[in-house]
Amino acid sequence: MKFVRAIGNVQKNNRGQPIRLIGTCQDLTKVTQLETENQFILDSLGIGVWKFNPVDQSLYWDKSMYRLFDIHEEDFSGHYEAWENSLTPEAKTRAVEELNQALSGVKDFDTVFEIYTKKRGKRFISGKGIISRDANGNPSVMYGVNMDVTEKVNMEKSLKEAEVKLIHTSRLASLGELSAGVAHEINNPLAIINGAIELMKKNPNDVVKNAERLETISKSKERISKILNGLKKFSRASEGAALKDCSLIDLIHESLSLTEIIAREKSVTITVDNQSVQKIQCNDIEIEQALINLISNAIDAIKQLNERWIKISIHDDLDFIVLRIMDSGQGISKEIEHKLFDPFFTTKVVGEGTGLGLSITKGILNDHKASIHLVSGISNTCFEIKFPASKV
Amino acid sequence: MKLNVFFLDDEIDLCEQFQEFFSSEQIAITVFTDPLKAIEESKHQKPDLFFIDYRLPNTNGDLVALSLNQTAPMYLLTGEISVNVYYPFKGILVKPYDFKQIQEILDLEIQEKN
Repeated sequence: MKFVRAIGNVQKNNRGQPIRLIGTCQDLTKVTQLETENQFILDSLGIGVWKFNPVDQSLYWDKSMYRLFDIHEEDFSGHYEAWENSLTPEAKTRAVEELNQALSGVKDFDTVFEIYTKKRGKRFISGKGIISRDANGNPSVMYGVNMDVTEKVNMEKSLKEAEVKLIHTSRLASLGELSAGVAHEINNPLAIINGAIELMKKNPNDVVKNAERLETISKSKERISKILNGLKKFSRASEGAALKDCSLIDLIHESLSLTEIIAREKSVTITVDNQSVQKIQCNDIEIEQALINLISNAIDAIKQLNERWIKISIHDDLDFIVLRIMDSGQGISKEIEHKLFDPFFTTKVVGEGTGLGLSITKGILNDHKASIHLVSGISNTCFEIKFPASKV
Repeated sequence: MKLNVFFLDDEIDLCEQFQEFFSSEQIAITVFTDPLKAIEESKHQKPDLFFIDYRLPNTNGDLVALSLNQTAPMYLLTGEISVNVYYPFKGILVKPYDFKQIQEILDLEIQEKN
């Protein structure tokens, strides 16, 4: 069987009667075969092809599109509304806006939207399109492809959920490691409060001394509140927390309220130098977790050394805030440097570290578009983190 | 004879309170915030009773007690939820400790000494 395209002209005599037909025949068998093969490939990949005319709002779909949208060809109106009506209410506003932005040249049409199908329920469809414009720059036609990415979207959602759970679990593990010190850090000021009360009971008329004791009670209460607030904040779930503008120095001090307990115990001196005036946009709980991981690691790395200090500094660098956490350690060997951020890599003895701290820290920083690297060319160990400054 | 009591805790407020509350004609209290100084001093003047905090800078009360080589009864003070110790402390007092209980310990030691 062959496919042939025939084009001809009728020749007429002077009375207007047809006398002959002159024409050509073109063998389109190969072209038709290629079109069929192309359609077969697109079908097998689950890719649908469409053409949209923004002037008259007409819409063309290939056969795969009907399958993707679960619509019978005869029910398809061939109008823009066929697409818009298939979108779920949650997806409609954004998808339509993205299409309009593409038509007006603001951005490319490259999106994922959710549709409702009769047989398969809600599906996620990726859409990409290119626009052809007339001499005046107005859109004349738009070509594009759609693909069902529901499995990919669901997998990404599951992955994100697992990631969030892992971050929270890791945070609770850090809390567990901190808890022994925390109990001490609460019971010590409680003992001071108790002692002050006993002394006030013993010397009720010593007005001057008792005023000092009340001040001691107040300071001890503040110590307890600071620890409890830090714990409360650190232990709550960070999932779904909105990004907000935060002062990095405040987050550092909040992280230190928990890590300084261990630092004091190990006689590690921590100094902070703040030269930054900008803010970062972040999930504060997660950034605090990253900071606690880095500071705890630094304490752990130097606790056996004669010289034990950690210097934390922040400064602005154009549109970035640079945070450096440097400790008195002698750096990290080249052999393990490239593995530092790998999950389950740890230099701690079995049972002391999960090996997830730095990899989770890197993940959190990646989510905030921040970078982290080990600074080379200096004699001590130093991590540098670059946060994009908030645009506010 | 006065009861010679050593008190070691890195919290200066607790040291001052202990000294102020329990010092008397019968009790002389020497306080230390530095474990090394406490160890050094105990070589020169033998205490009759020693109160030692568990969590100390770079060490802990158990290690300090083991290094003291003392015959004096020792009590461990701790803010921890639980501690495992090797030294046979006469007692472990959990912070915030009860002042009455400490007074009873001191009275008992005075009786034994006299």
